Amino acid sequence: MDLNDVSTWMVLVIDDEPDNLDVVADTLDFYGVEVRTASNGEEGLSVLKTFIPDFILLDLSMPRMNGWEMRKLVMEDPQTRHIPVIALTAHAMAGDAERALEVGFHGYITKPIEILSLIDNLRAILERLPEPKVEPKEVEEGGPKA
Amino acid sequence: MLKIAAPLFDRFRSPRRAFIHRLSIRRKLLVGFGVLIILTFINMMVNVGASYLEDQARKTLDDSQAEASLTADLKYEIQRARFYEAQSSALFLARVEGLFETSFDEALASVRNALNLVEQLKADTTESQSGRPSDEATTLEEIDQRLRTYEGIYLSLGTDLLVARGDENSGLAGDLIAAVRAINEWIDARRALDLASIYVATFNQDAIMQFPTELQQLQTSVEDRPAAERDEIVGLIRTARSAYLALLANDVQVADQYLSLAEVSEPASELVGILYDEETQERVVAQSDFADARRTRQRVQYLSLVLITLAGVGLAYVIGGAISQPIERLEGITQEIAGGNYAQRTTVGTDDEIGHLARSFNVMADAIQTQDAALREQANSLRIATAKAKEAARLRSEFLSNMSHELRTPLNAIIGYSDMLLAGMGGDLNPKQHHRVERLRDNGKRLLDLVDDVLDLARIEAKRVEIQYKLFSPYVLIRHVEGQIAVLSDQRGLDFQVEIDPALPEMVWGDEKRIEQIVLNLLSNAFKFTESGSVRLHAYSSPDDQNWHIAVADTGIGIPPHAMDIIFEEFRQVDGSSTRVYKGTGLGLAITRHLVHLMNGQISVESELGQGSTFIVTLPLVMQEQVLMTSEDGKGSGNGS
Repeated sequence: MDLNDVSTWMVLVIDDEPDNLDVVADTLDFYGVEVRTASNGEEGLSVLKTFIPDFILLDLSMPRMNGWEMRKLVMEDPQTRHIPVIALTAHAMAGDAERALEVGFHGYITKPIEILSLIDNLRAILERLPEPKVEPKEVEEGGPKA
Repeated sequence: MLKIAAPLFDRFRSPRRAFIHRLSIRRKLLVGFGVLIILTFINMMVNVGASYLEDQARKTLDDSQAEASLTADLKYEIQRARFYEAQSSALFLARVEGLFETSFDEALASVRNALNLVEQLKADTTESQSGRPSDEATTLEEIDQRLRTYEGIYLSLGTDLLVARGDENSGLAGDLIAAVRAINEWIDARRALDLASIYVATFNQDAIMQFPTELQQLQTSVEDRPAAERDEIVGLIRTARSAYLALLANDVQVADQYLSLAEVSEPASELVGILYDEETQERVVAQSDFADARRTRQRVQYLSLVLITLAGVGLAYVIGGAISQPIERLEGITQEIAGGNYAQRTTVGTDDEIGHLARSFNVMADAIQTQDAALREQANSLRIATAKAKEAARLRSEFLSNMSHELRTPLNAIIGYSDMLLAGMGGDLNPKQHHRVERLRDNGKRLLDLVDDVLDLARIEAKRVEIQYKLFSPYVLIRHVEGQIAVLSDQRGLDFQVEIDPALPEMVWGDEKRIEQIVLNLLSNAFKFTESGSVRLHAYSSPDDQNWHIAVADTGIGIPPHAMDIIFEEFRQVDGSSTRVYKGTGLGLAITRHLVHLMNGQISVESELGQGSTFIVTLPLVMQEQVLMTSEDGKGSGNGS
């Protein structure tokens, strides 16, 4: 995967809201990213059996299997352990973003997604990945403000 | 020891138990001491009796000893009298004048002593054995009689016969000597005189026998004398003969008396011997009687001491037990109740003070149990109420969270799709379409802001916002805000000035995010209500100041005086006429004011209609040390709140 060439990216997006899933998937697809989708953790895990993405965009609150549980299972599987997992969080749940980083998510994108800067935001997160801890304020930069 | 014996005691005690448990403690003690005193009294009487018997035995012994002693004396005196009787008899015959007298007197003295002793013995005997005469008394009487006879003989012997006899110059003997001397004046009668003298002095048998012969020869010798002379001498000889015969008769009588003395004294002596033996026997018996009485008295004393001691201990055990046992049971129950077992009741059923106490105690325990049950019920209902309240708070919080999520999800879709269309992902739009999709997206964002503000306010009012104190740089914060607001100021074409007072500390304590939110709110308001001119952000403090200040001044429309008090209230702007012109939820200032107050700060506004407004936020400048100290207490949220 080449960070600068979006067309080489392979991404798994998981969200239980079909519209939100659509917006993210369509936007990534529009820029040439190879996108697979799933509507909950269980589905996501079954997709991972045949498709190893460069990273996963994972909604936190979902029915059947939520994001927290799925991330845990992804980390436990040697086949998928290396894949960075980026959380999709609702801004209203102020604690979620910090908590996500604490438990080991590699970064987070706040909903509503900023369509025009989505690729840049993702790239910024991925560029910082070798460093274990990501400063939340830096990631949030360019995001929506009250 | 008593513990082992306790069941035994209980068995003994059981019939009496009911009785003793019916008495008050005072009466219990009275009964105990009363029984003890009665026992002591009985013991004393028994002791007195035993002592009396012992004294009697001692007295009998003393008496018998005295009698024995008297008898011994009597025996001695009689023997002495007999000795002197014999001696005086011998001395009388030997005519040893002086010694005879002494011997005679001694014998008489002994007899008199013996009589005195007999008198005493008789007195003792009648004293000890009143009325009926005993063998002893009879014996004594006999001895007395004999001794009196003895004394009588002695007296007659001494006074009559011995005095009558006289010596050479007096009495019968003197008569004889005088008669012979008278003869000697007439004729030679020296031989007769010698014989008479010998007889008088020595009781010489030859002299006694020859004297009458000598007188006969003298009479014969004067046959041839003249008649007158002869008659005279013969007369004299007759006189001498009759004197001789009188003396001889007297002497024979003395000898007879001595003989009868022996006859009297011997049986008396024998009787005394018998009496002495009897008295000795009596004394031995009295001695052994006294020893027995003494032993009996000692045994009684010892036994009664042991019995009194046992009775005392036994009474103390029984009464002490009757007092202490219910107390111990009550104490046990008290501990049970103190331990929380409120259903326990004491079964102490005595009628004494402890029983009353136990009944009061049970009443108290009832009260405690009732109160405890009530308290438990109350605590339980409180617990339930608290749980309900917690559950309600949790549901409310969950509701807010769900609301936020549910409201946001469709808005996200609306904004997302609008953005996609505007980005040309669905193909190019004509200007009209572009404008309308733009309006669609902007209104979606406004609605999203509105939802955010309402939820924020709801969360503040539900006290679900916590202030997170951290050390941060106000300079960095201001620069950060400046960067974020630059786009807005460019869009509005207003002059934006930022000024930071150098006196402001490098680092301050506070919730950086919330302070940023406050500043952003004030600045966006300022830009919203200012058409032309400038917006000025000023952060400052002074060395003596306990606070730091952030002022946001604009040259906008200002606030009319009547509205100064209400601008911080919720939905004010929404309700006002300005809503139409100035977009916004009208919640920004309300949220700001809430946040400032949560941080123990203050917010004020100065405004002149048409000239502009200045909002000043004052926050406490908490010194590092103070916060560190309060942080050590646990939570870092304490800022003098």
